[in-house]
Amino acid sequence: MAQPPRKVPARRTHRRAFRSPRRRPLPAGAPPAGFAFTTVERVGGGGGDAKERRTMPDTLNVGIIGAGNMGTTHARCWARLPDARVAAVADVQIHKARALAERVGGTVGSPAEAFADAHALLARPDVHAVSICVPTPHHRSLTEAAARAGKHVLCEKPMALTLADCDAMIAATRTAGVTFLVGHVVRFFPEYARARALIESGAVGRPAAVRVRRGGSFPVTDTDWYADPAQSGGVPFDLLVHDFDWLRWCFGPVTRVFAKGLTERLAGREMDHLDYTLATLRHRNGVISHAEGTWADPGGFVTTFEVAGDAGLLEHDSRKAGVLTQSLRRDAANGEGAGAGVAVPRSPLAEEDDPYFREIAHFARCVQTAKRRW
Amino acid sequence: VTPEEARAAVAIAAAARESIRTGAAVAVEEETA
Repeated sequence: MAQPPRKVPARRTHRRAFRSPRRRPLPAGAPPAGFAFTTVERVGGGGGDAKERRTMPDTLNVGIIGAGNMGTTHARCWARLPDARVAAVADVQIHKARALAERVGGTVGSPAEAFADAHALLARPDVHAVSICVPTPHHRSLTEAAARAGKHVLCEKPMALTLADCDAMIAATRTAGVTFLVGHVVRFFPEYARARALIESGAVGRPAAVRVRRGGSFPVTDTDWYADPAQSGGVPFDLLVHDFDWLRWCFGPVTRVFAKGLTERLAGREMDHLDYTLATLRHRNGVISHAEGTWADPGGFVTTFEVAGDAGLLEHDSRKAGVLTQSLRRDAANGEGAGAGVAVPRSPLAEEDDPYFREIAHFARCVQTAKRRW
Repeated sequence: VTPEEARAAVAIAAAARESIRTGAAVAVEEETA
């Protein structure tokens, strides 16, 4: 349903923060410069996709599915991109869809459309990509529907609660030939990305033992779906999956897991809005990781990590002003003291460094260059 | 991240949940050699 025209959105003041994706040269016979579409050819690619030719729009029309906190976050980021616009918002609570569409959607003379049914949004042929930001049990069905409709998909984490659902989502998007990424935003947090780069460079030597912690108060929404592990998966799926991905990104495949936690007591309603998990992971390369996640801390959201290697220690604590410090054994040997840290850049998280914005911009680049890999 | 990488994170989460339920260490389904 159409919304009334509205004023020029403030987002346009942020255009300079985004570097437009570099497009491939137009093939022979392509439309002249200034034509509204760019043809992109992809052969093979990650996941074994078949050869395809896509017609890519210069402006990406985006649909936001789910107008809760994450949907709002995605929509605000999309609205900052100069080569994209939020064309439609869907939420079963139509008043939320309307409110978000009004706040961040559309352009002058072409307001964003609000839907109560995501499938109605997917039926709009001018929507090129969607952000799926709904409770996890709906990720599979909506990703499959979006793929069938030819939409590129950015799905919030966790991808799904079962591997069977993951496989179905991968198959559907491969068959449709659309770009499909999952929003593990921690990789776009400067401190986590920088730590991974340092680890890769050998800054701490051979990694041996890792400790990560993440958590805060129990997430509460109007539908309270986080309190039902059958929907949220509890702390292991909804919270620690961030760290599981980062640990695997940094230290490689995980072969075994041992965990203690309260998720089953939450499921059995022995615990009311309180969940906690402590997991020990053995990586194939011998690294041991300890991952602690909590929805039992009312003191605010905190993340920490420590990476110990045979050359030193890498630490992060979001409660400290310097969010990433590095202490090397050779510094201590040189008489500079074990506490002498090599400061690495802090993450003031200026707007252009907003991890969610970086994630959305990355997805947009992948769509517009027909790349699947992150 | 790619869906294949996201799937691997789900596999670890599933193993953790299963370990909590059973009290035993659990092999990660996807990544056991």
